[in-house]
Amino acid sequence: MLSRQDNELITRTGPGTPMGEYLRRYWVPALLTRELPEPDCPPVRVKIMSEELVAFRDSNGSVGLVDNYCPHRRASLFFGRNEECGIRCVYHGWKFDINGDCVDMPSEPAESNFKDKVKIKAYPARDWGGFIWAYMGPAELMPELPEVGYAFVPESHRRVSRRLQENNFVQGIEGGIDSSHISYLHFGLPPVRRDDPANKTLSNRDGAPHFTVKTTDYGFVYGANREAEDDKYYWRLTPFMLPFFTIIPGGTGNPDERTYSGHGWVPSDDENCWMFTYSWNASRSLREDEGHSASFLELEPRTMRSVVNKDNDYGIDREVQRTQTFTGIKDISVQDASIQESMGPICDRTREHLGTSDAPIIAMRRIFLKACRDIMEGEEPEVPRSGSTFRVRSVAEVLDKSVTFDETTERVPVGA
Amino acid sequence: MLSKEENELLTRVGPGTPMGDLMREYWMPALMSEELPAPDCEQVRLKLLGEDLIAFRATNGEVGVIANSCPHRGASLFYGRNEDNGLRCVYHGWKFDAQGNCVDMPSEPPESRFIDKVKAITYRTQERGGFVWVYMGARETPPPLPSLVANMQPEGAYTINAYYTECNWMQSLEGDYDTSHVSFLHAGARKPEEIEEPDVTFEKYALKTRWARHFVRDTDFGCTSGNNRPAEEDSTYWRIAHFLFPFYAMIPASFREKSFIAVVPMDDENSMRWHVSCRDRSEPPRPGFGGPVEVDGLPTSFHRDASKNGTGWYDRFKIAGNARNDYLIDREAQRRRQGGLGFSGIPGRGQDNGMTESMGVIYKRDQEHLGVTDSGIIRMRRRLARAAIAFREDGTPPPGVDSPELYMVQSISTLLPNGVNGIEATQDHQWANLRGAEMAGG
Repeated sequence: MLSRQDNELITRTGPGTPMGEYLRRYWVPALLTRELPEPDCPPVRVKIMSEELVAFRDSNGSVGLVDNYCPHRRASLFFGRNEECGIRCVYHGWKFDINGDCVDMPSEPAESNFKDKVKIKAYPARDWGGFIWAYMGPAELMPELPEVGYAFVPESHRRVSRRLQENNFVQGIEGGIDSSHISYLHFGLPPVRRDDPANKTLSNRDGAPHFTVKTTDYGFVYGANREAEDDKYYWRLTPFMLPFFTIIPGGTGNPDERTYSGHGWVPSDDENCWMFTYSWNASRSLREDEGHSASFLELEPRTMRSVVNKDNDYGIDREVQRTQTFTGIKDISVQDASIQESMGPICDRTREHLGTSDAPIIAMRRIFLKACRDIMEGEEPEVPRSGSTFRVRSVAEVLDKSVTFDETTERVPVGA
Repeated sequence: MLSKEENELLTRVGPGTPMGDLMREYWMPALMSEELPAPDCEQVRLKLLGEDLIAFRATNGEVGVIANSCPHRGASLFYGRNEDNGLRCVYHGWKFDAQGNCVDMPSEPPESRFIDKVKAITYRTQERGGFVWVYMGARETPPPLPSLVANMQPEGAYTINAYYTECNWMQSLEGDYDTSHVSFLHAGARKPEEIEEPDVTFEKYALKTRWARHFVRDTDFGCTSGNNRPAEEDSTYWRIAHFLFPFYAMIPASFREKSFIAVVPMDDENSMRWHVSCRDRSEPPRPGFGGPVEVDGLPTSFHRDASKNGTGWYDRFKIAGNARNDYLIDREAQRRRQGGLGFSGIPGRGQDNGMTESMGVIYKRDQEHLGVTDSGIIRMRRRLARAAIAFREDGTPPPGVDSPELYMVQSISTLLPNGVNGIEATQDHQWANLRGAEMAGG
């Protein structure tokens, strides 16, 4: 349970809010590289942390991320012309480059130097791992980009996507670091089970796993161990990478050859977030249908929310719910969305009741609250600044009961 | 740039607001006469200055504008029966005439005198030049109608073009008074050599030199803005535009006409735009910007009649492009950079709505950067704000309200010798209509 004040603290991310300032000390994914496929292609609207921005790829291939509103009389640059290394407002022709400099102001008299006085808000942006990342914080505090596995594989080895979820980003993260819900939300009804690989059956067998959390320099890793056969535990270890990324445990066989997936929940505004999804395999190309199911959802083209959404009750089929699956909702990713959105746009955490399986959620909130308090007191919050800190992966293994949690966490880091 | 308070003053027009009170002192073109084509026809939902009204044409042809809510228990008179010189609520049969008198109250006992005590809110109306004009002010005797030349023409000698915009009236009107956007938004892809001869309004100079120097001065009706740019070696191209209280613009169009634009606030977040000119309506419309003329049954540009209107509060004169479909932007056309479509890629009046609506429904003016091209806008805002405050504080009569003849002024597009002040030099030309009327009147 959180006090109303603490709930406000961690969920509000607009400019000037403590949590917003904290998140602005990280690189955050803003959109997909493929959404700006070539130089001078049409710009894309992006709303992040309550800031309305327009992303464009200029004639040199560099990405600009500027204020949606032209500084002149605030018409939207979304309608602008992306040409000759800048975006030009179609209202009066003012043009801005990726650094936010006004490089042409053809509506003002030739002798005017007003052009040199006008700047548009612009943030550094980088193509990295299939995403376009934005840094919206103080220039002197800019960290390195996170070196998660998907950033180092060829494009054919990874699949990325984003979609809008109509809830606060913290609810998204909380769904991502709560391993116990998979035994319910995502499963069939006993004895009818999905045709799942062994590990998922293992998840279903013991619906009350034991949770342990270990703080790390990238955030924390938590383990959930479930009873398995012959004095063994089925261990699932999930790294939580600051400020809002996960890698989901799963797969079987050689850890170096598995396909991993994870998410990041980027605040769009306080009541909506972008769920970014990445899947990758370090050893081979992904099959056409391989990757997290979130990347295969049909989306509404303009809003980028799933066509199956709260307006149609997520397509719930009560008959299927009665006879086949726990939810009656079809897709794992939609199941997650339905539950996270059903808490309301901003979950009222003064009225929750957390159990032992919610330990990672509590750990995450502690980090956020500490960072917010640091910011409010004028201290610099702790932020992992080195990209290599993020060279981690998830673990899903059946291990002897004698293996301690600490020993399992040694499997999380990936050598550089 | 304006403070939040100044911005509120300028944009809010509901009952009791300073700007709303100021506007209520003027007659307003509220709807087209043809929206009420015949006696006892279907009534029309009418939003005006934040008030929900019903317009109906009574059996005797008179237009009534009455509050939407029946005085009894508030049911909408939109569902009422328009019959026998009155609008009858279908809930309990109460009936009101165009003056708001309750003329029948069949649900009360015959001996009841309640009927004499109940009145509906109505506003005075008159029709002229294709408009139903409405007066919502407090004066016992309303002022005269403004003598707008294009609204004083006989049937067939004028055209009313209309479109609705989903934003505050002020930012929409600012777009009209800012004629410099024409060289970009509407003509940014056109070249001077594309202008057809004879170029009677010297459009080619506005494409040759896309910036302009601006001059502005206060007038009795509002303000006049003149902008100039080089023409030939010995001449300067001048465009003279006017803002007239409370929401009119006269801009030198790309053709010579005594036209005016009215941006009538429906409420704080929605406005009706009327473009009125002295042209025969049967003439074919002027070529637009290119692109589709109609999409999904709605025009992309001006409406010329009310035939496509729906019945909702915001269903009159809607154009096809809107914020939900990004104004039908065609990025390929934008890239091709040809003709009137080629700068923005947006067809029709979506070009204007796309710009003014994308500023936010009620544009906040605390982060803008106004240049010299915006000097007219700055003056217009200042005049409106001051007039609203003066009227509120000591009842100073709003500018122009009692001087209908001032509205006979016209905009100018002309060549002048270098070095003259165009606003001064064109005074005779600006007032030619008034002079003509005076001479005709003896």
